[in-house]
This record gives sequence, C-alpha cells and structure tokens, in this order.
Amino acid sequence: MLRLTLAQVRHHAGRLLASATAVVIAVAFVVVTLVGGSTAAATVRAALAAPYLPAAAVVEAPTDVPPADADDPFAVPPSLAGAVDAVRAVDGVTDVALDTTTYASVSTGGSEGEDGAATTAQFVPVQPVGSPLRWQQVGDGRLPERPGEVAVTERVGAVPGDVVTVQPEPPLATAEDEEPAAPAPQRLEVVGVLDTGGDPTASVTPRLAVTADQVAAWGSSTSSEELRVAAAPGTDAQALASAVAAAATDALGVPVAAQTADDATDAVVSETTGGALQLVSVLLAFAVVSVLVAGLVIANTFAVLLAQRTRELALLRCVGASRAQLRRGVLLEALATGLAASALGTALGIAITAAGSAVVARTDAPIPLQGLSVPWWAVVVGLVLGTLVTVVAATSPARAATRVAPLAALRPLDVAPLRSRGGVARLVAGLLLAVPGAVALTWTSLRGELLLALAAGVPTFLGVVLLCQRGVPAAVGLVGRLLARVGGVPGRLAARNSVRVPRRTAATATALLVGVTLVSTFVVGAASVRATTTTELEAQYPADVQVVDAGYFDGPGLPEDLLPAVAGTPGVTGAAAVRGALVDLGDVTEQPLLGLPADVDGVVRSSTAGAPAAGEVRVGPGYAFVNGLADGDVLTATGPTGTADLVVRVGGRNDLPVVAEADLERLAAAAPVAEVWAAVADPEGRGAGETVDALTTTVSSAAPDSYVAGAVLVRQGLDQVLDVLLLVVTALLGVAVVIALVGVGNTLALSVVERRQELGLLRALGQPARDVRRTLLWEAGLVAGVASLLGVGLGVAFGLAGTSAVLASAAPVVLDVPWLQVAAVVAVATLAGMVASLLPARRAAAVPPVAAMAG
Amino acid sequence: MHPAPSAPMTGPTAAARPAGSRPDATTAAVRAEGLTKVHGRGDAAVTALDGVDVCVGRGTFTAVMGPSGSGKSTLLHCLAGLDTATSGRAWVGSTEITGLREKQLTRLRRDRIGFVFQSFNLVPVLTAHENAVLPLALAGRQPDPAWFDEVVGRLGLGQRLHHRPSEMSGGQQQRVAVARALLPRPDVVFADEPTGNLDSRAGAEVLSLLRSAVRETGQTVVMVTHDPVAASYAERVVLLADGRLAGEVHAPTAESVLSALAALGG
Ligand SMILES: Nc1ncnc2c1ncn2[C@@H]1O[C@H](COP(=O)(O)OP(=O)(O)OP(=O)(O)O)[C@@H](O)[C@H]1O
Ligand SMILES: [Mg+2]
Repeated sequence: MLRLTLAQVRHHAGRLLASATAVVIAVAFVVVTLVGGSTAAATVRAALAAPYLPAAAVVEAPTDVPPADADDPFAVPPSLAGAVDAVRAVDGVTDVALDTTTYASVSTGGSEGEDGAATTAQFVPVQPVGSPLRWQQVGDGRLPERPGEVAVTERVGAVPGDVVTVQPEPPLATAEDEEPAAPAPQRLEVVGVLDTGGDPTASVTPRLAVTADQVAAWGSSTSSEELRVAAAPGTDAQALASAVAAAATDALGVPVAAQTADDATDAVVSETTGGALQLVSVLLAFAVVSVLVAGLVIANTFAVLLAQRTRELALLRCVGASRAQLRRGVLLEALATGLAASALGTALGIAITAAGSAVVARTDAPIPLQGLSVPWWAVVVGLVLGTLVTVVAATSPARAATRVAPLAALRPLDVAPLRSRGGVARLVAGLLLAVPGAVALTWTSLRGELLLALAAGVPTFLGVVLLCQRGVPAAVGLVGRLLARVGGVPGRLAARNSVRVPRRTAATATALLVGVTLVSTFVVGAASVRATTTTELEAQYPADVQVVDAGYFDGPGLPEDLLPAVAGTPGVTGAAAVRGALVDLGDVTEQPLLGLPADVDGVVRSSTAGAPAAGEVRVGPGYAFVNGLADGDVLTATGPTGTADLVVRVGGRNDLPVVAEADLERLAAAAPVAEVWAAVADPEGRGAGETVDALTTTVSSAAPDSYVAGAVLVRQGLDQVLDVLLLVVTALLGVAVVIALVGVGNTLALSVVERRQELGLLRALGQPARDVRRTLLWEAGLVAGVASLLGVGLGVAFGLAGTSAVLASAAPVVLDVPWLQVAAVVAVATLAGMVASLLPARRAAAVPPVAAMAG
Repeated sequence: MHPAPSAPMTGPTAAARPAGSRPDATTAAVRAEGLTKVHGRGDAAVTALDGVDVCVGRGTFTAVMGPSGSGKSTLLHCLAGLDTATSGRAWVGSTEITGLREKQLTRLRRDRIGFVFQSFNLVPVLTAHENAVLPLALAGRQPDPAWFDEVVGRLGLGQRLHHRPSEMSGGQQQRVAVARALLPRPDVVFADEPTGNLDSRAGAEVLSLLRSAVRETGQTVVMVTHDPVAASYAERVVLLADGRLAGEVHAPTAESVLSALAALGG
C-alpha cells in the first residue's frame, strides 16, 4: 500500500502541490510571524544589551530617603555617586561606571535667531577612553571626549560639525519657596553620529551622548542613575551582585539593590518588548485565520481530487483492498503532501523574513529587524502545523472517498447529492449555533458587553459558516439564473456548472466568505468607530479650525492682523476673531472667558455654538456640573474694567464659558484676541487637510506663539490612525483571502480536468475558445461574487455589532457603513476570483475538439 | 423490426442517381484529395491516413468501415475540421477546410457540420432540449419551429425533453444527439460509431433516424461503424485499411459487407 501511495504522490505530484499552495502560503505566514518576531526580539535584545555586555553586575538607584530625612518632604534618595568608591573597592571589581541619564531641551542649528524647533532629548554619558564599560558605537565621526562635545542619534537630525543648543532643566528644589534658576543654554559641537542599529526606541526619542561630567552637571528631577560594574573574568556574577549591593547599601545608608548584568538585560528587554510580544500574538491570530482558511481550501481540494479518482479507488476495492487500507493510503498521501507543502512554506517564510530584514536594514524604518534569527521551534511549528492541517483536512474526504462501493468502478460517476446525512446534520447544527448566537450577539453588543458579545460572536460565525454549506449553492443558483438569462450559452453553462457539485461550490465559497467577512467587519468597524469618535470629539470643538494663543489670556494675545491672514487662506470659507480675558465669574476667580462676536455664527460648526444673547453666559455641561450651575442661574462677573450680572445658559460645545463680545468688552475693554476660529470648505473631505496645512504655515509666520486645533485636525489625526490600522489589518486578512482565491482557482482547475470531454464536445459543436474561457470566468465570478456578497453582508452585521460592543458603554454609538468601501471589497474579491480562473480557463480553452471522443 | 438491408437502394433519393457513381466536385458534400495524417514525430510517428481520396455526394448516407486502427476516426476528424491533416486537401461543400484557421473551423463546425459521437454526446448540465438546440444557441440563432417540431417529433422523447442527460437512457441520449446534429440543417452529419454503446434495438432506432433524414430531407451523413448491420443502413460503404482506401461496397447488405471485410483481413 505504501508503494502504491508513493507512486500516487509521484504521479499526481504537480496537481497535489498545486492544491497544497494554500498550505504553503498559510505556513509561510505563520513562519514569517514567528521568525520575524524572534528576529525582532534578538535585534532588540542585541541593541538593549549593549551597555550591559561589558558589565558583570548592575546597581540600581535607591528609592528610599535616608532615615534621618524621613520627615523632610523635599528630601530625595541619595545619589549613587556616593557609592562609586565603595563599589570599586569590592573584590573582583575592575571598573565602575556611573551612568546618569537625563532629559533636556535641544534645538539644532544653534546660531541665534534661527533656532530649529526645540525638542526634549535624552542625554546619556560616555565613559572615558580605556574604560571597559565604554560601549557606544559611532557610525560617523567619533564619541565626545570633553565637555562641549556631543554625539547624536540620527533622530536628532544633526551631522558632525553642526552645533546644537541645550537648555538644561533647573536643578531640584531642595526647600519650599526655592525656585532654582534655569541654567544658561549651552552650545555643543556635534562630533559623531551614534550607531543605534536595532534599538526600537532610537527613532522615538532623540538621544545625545556627552561626557559623564556633562550629564552629572545637568542633573535634574528627570535624571535616573545606575552603576555598571565590570569584573575580572571568572568572577561569579551573582555573588558579585550581592557584594556590590551590600557595599553600596553601606556607603549610602539606604537599601540598594543590584542584579547581574544578564538579569538587567532581561528586565530592560521585557520592558521594551512586552508590546512587541503582544504584536506577535496579534499577528499570529491573523496567521491562524489563514491556516483555517487554508484547511477549508485543502479539504475541498482533496475532496475533488479523490472524487476524480473514485473509479480508481473502486477498482482497488474490486481487486481486494480493504476500506481501511484505502483510507490509510489516502491519509498517507495527505501526510506526504502536507509535509512537502509545509517544508516549502517554512522555507518561503524564512526567505521572506530574511528579505524583509535586508530591506529594513537598508532603509531607516523604525523596525527592529537585523539579520535573521530562526528558532528551531518556529521551523517545527511550521512543519507540524501545515502537515497537521493537511491531514486533518483530508480526513473527511478520505472517509467519504473510501466508502466507495467496488461496483462504482463499472459505473459512470454519480454527482454527490445535496441532501446527504452530513448536510442535514450541518443544517441543524448551523441553526442551533447561529440563531441563539445572533440573538445573544445583538443583545450583548447593544448593551456594550464586549466579552459577552465576543463569546456570542464565535458560535454565530461558526453557525453561519455551517449554514453556508446549504445557503451558498442556493444563492449561487439564484444569481446564476440571472446570469443565464443575460450571458448566452457561456452564461447558462457557467450558471449550471457552478451548482453542479453543490458541496464543492459551498466549500470554495466558504473559504472566501470567511476572509471577506473578516475584512468587511474591520472596514465597517473602523468606519463606525470613526463616526462615533469623531462625533464625540468634534462636539468639543466649536469650529473646524481654531488658532489658539499659546500664552493663553496672559500676554498680548494674537496679533490683530492674524484674522485677515486666516480669512484669506485658500479653502477657508469664514473666520472670526474671539477675544478673551480672565474675569471673576461667580465663585471662580481668574476664569478665562471668551467673547463671541456676532459674525462667529457663520463660522461655528453648529448653531448651538454661536454667539450668546446679550446678558447671558453660556457654559458647557461639564463646567456647569463642576461648578454646580443650572440653566437660569445668575452669575456676577467682574473683569478689569467692569461688572455685569449674567444669566447662565447650559449647553453648547465649548467647555469655557462664553459671552457676547459686547458683554466681554464691558468686563474687559480692549481684551486681546485669544483665538481665531475658521470654517473650511468640505471639512469632512480630504481637501480640508491641505487647508489646515496652509493655515498652519500662515499662522506660524503671522503668530509664532500659537497653535492650531479644531475639529478638522482631530478628525484628520483619527483618520490617519484608523486608515493605517485598517490598511494593516486588511493586508493581514488579505493573506486569508488570497488563500481562498487560490482555492477558487484550484477547484476550477480540477474541474477542467474532469470536464475535458465535455469541453471538447462544446468545441466540436462550434463553441469558440473565447466562449469556453468566458464560461469559466463567469463561473469563478459567480461563486466569488456570491461568496463576497454574503461575506460582506455578514461582515457589515459583525462590524456594527462589534463597534457597538466596544463603544456602547462609553458613548452613544454612531453606526456608519462605508458603502463605497464595502462595494469595493465585493468588486475586488469578485474580480480576483475571476483572475484566479484565468489559468484554468486557458487550459480549458486549449482542450482540443477531438477530446470529445476520447474514452 | 429491422428494415430490409437493401431498402436504401430503392429509396427515391438513391434512385435519383445511379448507385455507385462518383459524385463530381460540384455536387459533393465532402471531398478529400490525398489526405494524409501523421500522428507524432520521428520514431513515434504513426501514419494514420496515407493519401486518401474520397468524395461524398450530397444527400447520401455513407458508412466508413475497416479494422481497428485503420484510420476511420482520423479520417472523420480531418474531414470535420476537428483535427488538421498533415497534407492533402479537404472540402466541405465548396469550402476548403485544410488551411482554415481555428476560428474559421469553429464557425464551420457550428454552422455547417453536425456530430454524433459514440458516447458523451451531451453536455451534462443542459437539458435534452437545450442540448438539441445548443449549436443554434452558440450561433445565436432560433430554431425554425416547424423544422424543430418535425425533428423532435421523430425522436419520440415527449416529456423527456426537459430532463438532464443523466436521467435518460443511452438510446435516448443518442437520439437527442442526432436531433442536435440535424437541427441546424448542416452540410453534413458525421457520426463516429453512434450505435457502439447501444443494444441492437436502440441502435436501430438511431440508424432509422439518420436514414430517414437522408431520404426525406436530403441530409448528408457520413458514419463510422464496426457493425455490418449498421453499415447496411447506408447507401455506400467505404473500406479503409492501414490508412488507405481499400475498396467500396455499394448497396451494402450485412453479408456483402462482412465478406468485403473478410477479404480485407485476408
Ligand atoms: N493522437 C494520436 N497520437 C498518436 N497516434 C494516434 C493518435 N490517434 C490515432 N492514432 C493512431 O492512428 C491510427 C489510426 O487511428 P484511428 O483512431 O483513426 O483508428 P480507427 O480506425 O478509428 O480505430 P477504431 O476502430 O479502434 O476506433 C492508429 O494506429 C492509432 O494508434
Ligand atoms: Mg475510431
């Protein structure tokens, strides 16, 4: 039997491997995730471990204040500087480095007047030349050797020869009422660019390396310290850690902890890669979806392949093979195929990761991938998973195929009936899962019970997938009838062929349906989250764009000529200047109060945000709640130039109280402009982004001391995040969709083999090759189209339920179905299905008319 | 049940022309000159047809016979534009088909040639009715209702017209195939062992259908067969051996065909 199986595998090798493409892709996905994760972890570890490599032990900064200072609220834990000598004296210690890390504001282009924007940067010390604990590497230039020199990371954006200006933070206050003066800014010369290869934090925070003395001099409340201890070779790290901890504790008089350098590395790596691990497990979830879809596809492929061999199997039964023997043979075949496909997939996955890593290394993308780390377990997981899925998928077709009666060898092939026992069981199980599941899902998601909704969603989905086994052929038949009416002979043939073996059609469609459902769930979910969140966030902003004075109510305000500049910016449809002053309002002193001019009504996003009536002060619900105000209350407002009694109106969008401009004028004559509000054309559209960019440019020159805010910015920020998220998720689920499409192509290719004679007949009767191709194209389009239509329908439902489940407890949910995107999903999936049919269609069209007479 | 084997000879159509006379080029429905077909290349080359000259008159019923492997099917394929000859020329009506391109051949088959094969004649997903009108549907034409009724009326299928092939007997399927071949009124109907899979009774029904089409409507039929009784329905039997013409039998009877075949074998 084994020999027969191997002969089978060899004979069908091409067809088997083509059918196993789905497994290859899915396994490759899993392996890419695992190997990529492991490579990233190794890269991060290598980068983060660099300081600790030359060290044997690491002493942590104490967190306790000395007992003597216990009552002093300004007391701080002692600096490790006091323990350096004691630690150095410990047996076996060869060197000690006090690493003080601090933060300070840095600007590039140090020449006066044209400072670049100041950013907060991290400063790390460089140990002197000759110290075994000196660890930084430079990519360009050299490390700093004396105060006044600095090496920077690429993120800083400076090259050797540049000058950066550093504004150190004031030192710590040591007593009440003492406000230490900020040190003078310092200009440093850039002497090198640090090599930060693989450090994931390098692209986030700009980092500068300076001499240890320099950092110590800038020590501030944001500083952190640790001691790295180098030891003679052969020293026991654990013992050394205990010894240095004891020495430091003695020297400082407070408990000090130390750990081995290895433990310290582990700690910092797990701190940094916690998120990365989460990412890997999220990616794995998507990979598992692909594997499941691949299982569906491969099961179907096996069913088709075995159906084609029914006669052969029956013949074997005729000559005396037992059912168990046949089944074992078929499963062995699946095992061999699965193993080959998994090996291929694993190799492909490793190759893709290596290529990705090489590409990342070449660009300066903030992805920690360097080299390649292939853990043995990733290979094992790939091989075992792929083989297992293939064998499990083949089990049920194998059982069905080997149930063949020996007599079948002498009979023409029967078409599998739809109403089989398994079909009814599936129908019942599907209904039992889907109906209560859907009810529970609706109920829980409306109440915002995320976990319960999730628990209800899984059986619903499974139930629906089971129901699809019956529903899909019916739906395909229905749509096919339309196609038959308009498509001529190719249309009619496509329609009939597509429901020829209903179970096959159902399986093919289900694989695609799963992928499309998930994609559209996320599409709809993202849209609804966007709608809900923007509605929430936008409610807080009265205008599309607000230019806000950064020195809020404390200074000269915005320049008077900003308003015309803003109003004249292309894309701005209206603008109004809003003045503001600090007044005493009721019990609240120094309350910022805005005065809205009458022309603000044409600018605000909603009529409730317009100028209040004279004699009224409008406060947001939040403000009213905090200050115990109710509609109709009367507040006395006292400003620098006057007093007025104002009637409280609760409502509107601003959280700051607003009055009419005339009322503000009475309280604070000639108050400065606090904000300029603007309305832009098509605030929801993409053009709004350009308007905001133009406005930002206008404002940065006309009023440098201000920032731009508003509903449009919030919406755009959110849009960007959601777009990227959706893109990533779609790409990840796309793998599952691609696998399903491979399934569509597979089934079709195999059916071409089956229908060879019939295709020859059609050609003999005068059907042009073009129409043969068209028939297959339409058949694929029909199945893929119906599958994606059903999938999208399901996805819309799941997406809405999901959004509601996630957000219902936080905010009134605004559901939004992006019909255009949803239609695009259907169109793309259908077209892709048709593309998947191109190859089989070509093969079908190449069948010669003489084939009608073969056999 | 069987008609007298000599009956075709006395039919009105056959009487219009002296039996056995070779129709000239203008009245020929199908004609071939030096038709040669070599399958494969080099050592594996098999000469299936070796310079065959043949002429089939309009409105005649011709049977092609010969030992297995003698090239009967190959001849039929080459005459019908299903396969291309290696050399030589062939005509259907006045159209030379050797040298036509695949697209033109497809059209020719659709519009001017009918086929009945030994098995697998019908498209499984289409009903009997749909199968019968398939060549017309492919051409985007409607069947002539009177002609349709006449052809289908002779089938004796009745209610079965809306069944799928899998629900019909082999004989019924072959009769549908004959109807399909006749409906477009092709220049010629080619049949390759149309009764090979049928019992003698079902075979006789199919053969009678073909013969009455020839006699009553002037249809031209060329049929490959192994069965001397089937051949006796034809007006002329062309004998093939080793890819060459090996004689003819006019006004064949089962006996005369058998003895001609025996002579070949000997
Ligand atoms: N596609 C092919 N490739 C190679 N040789 C072929 C091919 N088709 C036919 N032949 C050879 O050509 C010769 C004639 O074959 P053909 O099928 O025409 O015979 P036939 O008279 O129809 O036989 P039968 O009565 O068995 O149907 C045979 O020797 C056959 O082996
Ligand atoms: Mg033959």
